[in-house]
Amino acid sequence: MTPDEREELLAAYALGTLSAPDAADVESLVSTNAAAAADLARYHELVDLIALSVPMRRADPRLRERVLDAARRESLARRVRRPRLARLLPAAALAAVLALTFVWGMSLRATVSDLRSESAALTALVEANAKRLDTLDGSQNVQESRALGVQLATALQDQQVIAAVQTDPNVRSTDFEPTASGHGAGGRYLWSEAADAAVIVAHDLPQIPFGNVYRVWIEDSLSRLTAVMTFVPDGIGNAQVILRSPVIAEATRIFIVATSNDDSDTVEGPVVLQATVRRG
Amino acid sequence: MPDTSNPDHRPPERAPIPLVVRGIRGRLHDVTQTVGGERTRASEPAPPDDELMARMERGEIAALEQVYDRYSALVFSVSYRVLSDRHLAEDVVQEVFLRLWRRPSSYDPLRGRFISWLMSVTRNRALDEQRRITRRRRVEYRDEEPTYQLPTHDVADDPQLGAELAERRQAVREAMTRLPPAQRRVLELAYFSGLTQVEIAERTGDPLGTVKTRVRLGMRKLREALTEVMSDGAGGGYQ
Repeated sequence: MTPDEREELLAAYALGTLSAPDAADVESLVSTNAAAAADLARYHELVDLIALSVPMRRADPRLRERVLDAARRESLARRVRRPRLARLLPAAALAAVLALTFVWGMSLRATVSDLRSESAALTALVEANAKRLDTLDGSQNVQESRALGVQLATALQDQQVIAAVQTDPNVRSTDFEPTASGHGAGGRYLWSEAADAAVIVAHDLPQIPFGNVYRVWIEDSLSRLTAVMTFVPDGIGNAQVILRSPVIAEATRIFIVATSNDDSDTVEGPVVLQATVRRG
Repeated sequence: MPDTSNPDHRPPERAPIPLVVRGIRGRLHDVTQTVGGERTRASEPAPPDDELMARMERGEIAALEQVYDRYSALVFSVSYRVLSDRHLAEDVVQEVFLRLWRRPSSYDPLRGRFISWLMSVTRNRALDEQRRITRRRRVEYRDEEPTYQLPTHDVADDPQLGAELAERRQAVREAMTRLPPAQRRVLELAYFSGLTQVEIAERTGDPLGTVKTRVRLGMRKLREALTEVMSDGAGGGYQ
């Protein structure tokens, strides 16, 4: 690659104008070339400056109050909602599981060694929640909240899979790298052969229009692409998904693609995150 | 520096007290803030963006107010440039600032400047909205402000942005204006319309190779023109 070609690719990548394969080439380059990575960082900085070239316009002055009112309402709603949850035991248990899931998700952003130490605590909590579910099973509370119980059971099953992946001493872990379309997003992919499952935790995914989804594609060693699942992140772009497809055993690369078509045989839409699966 | 060429500008009776604004990389700049075309004296330095985000993390609505006052015009202007629709642009403004409020920790100071992150979030959100509309209505791109008419001076520059950010903006606008129109256009189509190089080639009717070359040359010239601004902590904002 000539210096001009490299410059062309890096500049176009920072602008977000490359096709997915070209973008993947750039990501591969910067992952092994510190000088290219530094150049790319400069181009990203330059691209962000382009926003400053717009002629200044003023929004409706009433918008300020609308934004601040909405923020106040959200704060208030958060404060009001908590006591109600606390009164409902099953809901509280579900909240505990979800909180645990969130904490665990956040912990994935820490180091792998941190994950090891946290896994024992997670397993204990999953067991405790399972016992709690058994206790609740015959109670009037759960009978009245059967749907909630099912939800809790599903969440616990998911937690058990997650715990199994996490506690596997041979778990493989790799960070997702954002493409130009997913600038600011990140996440981690963990695969456990023993658990026959993988887990993806993603954060700061770009918002997608209503009706669109994120689709997970797995590429195997023969460069065959298989779509394994779709998901929709929460309101702030976070997602945690479990993959149980047999294809994961052969995965060499993982792509998360924003798409409006969730049953296409080909990748449609921009790749937002990608990870290369390291094999021991 | 602030524009003091306003004919209505009256010199202060005494020398203005400089408002100390923390620079992008921790350096201090002495600038005199101008509000409404007249110099004012500020007794306290403006809080840095990082400090405001930390206060938002603690749930201080006043911090959101300050961030809004500082950047809402810029966020709106970028959104409007992408969407060419005032109401849609205001929706984006609301979403961007509510996102900040819900999750201020999504900005990581170690990964870059606040203004860069904010512009990236704004652009992505506006482009998402544009793609949604395009799919729904199949509307044609409307370039309400052809690049060759890019003004070099803002008549409505927002004093809330602060003198330093206004200065940065001026440098960027001048650098963009100095680009050959064809190069500027591909950069703007890429940035504000979110088009790929292939899509730009289709839209402009130019060969793909020409588009690639224009992107490279345009970015190179922009980089050369803004080297000082970038190394000086480009992007404006209070850090």
